[in-house]
Amino acid sequence: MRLFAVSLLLLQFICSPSVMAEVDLRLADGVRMLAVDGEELESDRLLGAGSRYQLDNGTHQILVEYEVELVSGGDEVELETSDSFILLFTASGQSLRLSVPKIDSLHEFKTFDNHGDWRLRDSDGSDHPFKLDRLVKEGFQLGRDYERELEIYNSSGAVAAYHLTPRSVFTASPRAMDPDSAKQAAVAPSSGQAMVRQMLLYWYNQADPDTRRQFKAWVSR
Amino acid sequence: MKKLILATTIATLATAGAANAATIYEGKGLTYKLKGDWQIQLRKDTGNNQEWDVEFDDLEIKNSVVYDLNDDMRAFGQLDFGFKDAAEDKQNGSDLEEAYVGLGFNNLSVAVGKMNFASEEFGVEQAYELKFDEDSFDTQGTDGDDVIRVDYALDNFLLAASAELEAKGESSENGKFFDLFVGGDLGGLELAAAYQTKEATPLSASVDTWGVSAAYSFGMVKLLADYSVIEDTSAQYNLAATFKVAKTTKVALGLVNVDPDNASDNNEWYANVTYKFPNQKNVSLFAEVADTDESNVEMGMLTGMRIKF
Repeated sequence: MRLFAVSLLLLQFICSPSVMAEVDLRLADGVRMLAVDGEELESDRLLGAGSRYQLDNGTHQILVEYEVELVSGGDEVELETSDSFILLFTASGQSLRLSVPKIDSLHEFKTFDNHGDWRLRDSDGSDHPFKLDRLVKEGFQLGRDYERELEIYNSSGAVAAYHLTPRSVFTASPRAMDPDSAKQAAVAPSSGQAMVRQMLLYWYNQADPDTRRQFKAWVSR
Repeated sequence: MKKLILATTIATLATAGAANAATIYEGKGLTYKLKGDWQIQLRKDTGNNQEWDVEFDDLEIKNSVVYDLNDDMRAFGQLDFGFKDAAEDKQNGSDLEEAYVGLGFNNLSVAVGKMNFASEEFGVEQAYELKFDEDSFDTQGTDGDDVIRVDYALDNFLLAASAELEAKGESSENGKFFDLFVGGDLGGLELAAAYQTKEATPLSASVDTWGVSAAYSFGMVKLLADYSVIEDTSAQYNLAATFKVAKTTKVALGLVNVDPDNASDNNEWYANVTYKFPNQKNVSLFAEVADTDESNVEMGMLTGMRIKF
């Protein structure tokens, strides 16, 4: 009897959804996944679906966009693609579906893109909580480096930022670092100012020599 | 190919801030998009003694610029080029297809330049290539060089009006047109109506054209119909059905009837299939067969590939 009770408890534990090792994330038609947890996805499968992903239990950050064909000006059909959106969510052993509202017109597309009305729902149709933000890049849009942009975003403390471990955006190359900033980097940061110091170091190392000179002159005043 | 989907044309094309795969530059209130639509067909036209050849339809490059002037107002410009005539050695004049600038205020926009009339929004036919005109408005003309156009667009409603100036004696003289289009989605039923009055020359009488259309989607199947009339000239109707047989594949069947006032009517039917690559919906393959009940006309067929960006 005791053995039976223990076996029953064990069976219940094994079958419990929280024990499932994965989150099943499905993307609605038109939704494209660009990056997961800071890593850009390769899309080289000609016939691949790219609409279902198995993620580990826990917190994940995904970068997505929505693409749709819409009529524009009579019988012209144009492909419209939304901004790149960042979603941050936590899940465990669940099946989730990411979708957008029904979009049949350019006006509806514009409304969706302006408001970022993404929908992340559980298998029973209920809303699953997530944080949302846009990944914005000013300037030329060709050849965007999403991994780099996400590194910068995630170190900014923004609403959907996620502190990922592997790559540090503040790992300066020997070429970019001058002796003064290398000395500063060796000093252990205090807890409250760590982020500020890292941001300052990063942008200083990104600056060209002329900008650095101007910055040093300003600091010296 | 036309779809009765509410196209909020110029009004919401003029929208800054929507970065997409064709966005070249975005920043400081400026968005510049470059889009293309390249379609090449291996085709034997419906008709008599037609031969197979390679047709280019279309070869378009579109440049779109939008400036945010403030929260509610934007300025926009569009410059579109098409090179299919040049590709087929039928070059006669400019490759410029559209060129206009305008201002947008929330859901309202006003544009001036070389562009389509409001009545170009009308029609439901689903063919890649037709021997007959798409509808009565297509027969009368749906674009001009001296156009002023106003669009008011909501999520499921579009009202558009356009006027082509007479430009009497000018090189762009093209006739005088006034067009209206209104379309709405009522719980899934798409309804539209259009009207045009045309004076082909300063001395000719005006000719009116009007049309109505409807479409309804039953899940994977959509039924579409339109009816249009050129006053004292002819009437035309289109019936079409589309079937989404798979996530990547759509089939369309259609019938076109043209009934001139002073001659017997003629029918054209078509059937096509389109496959879109699942990872790149902007790349598609298609094939179509079509025929008419006119005498001495053989069935036409085509296959092709389309790339959009």
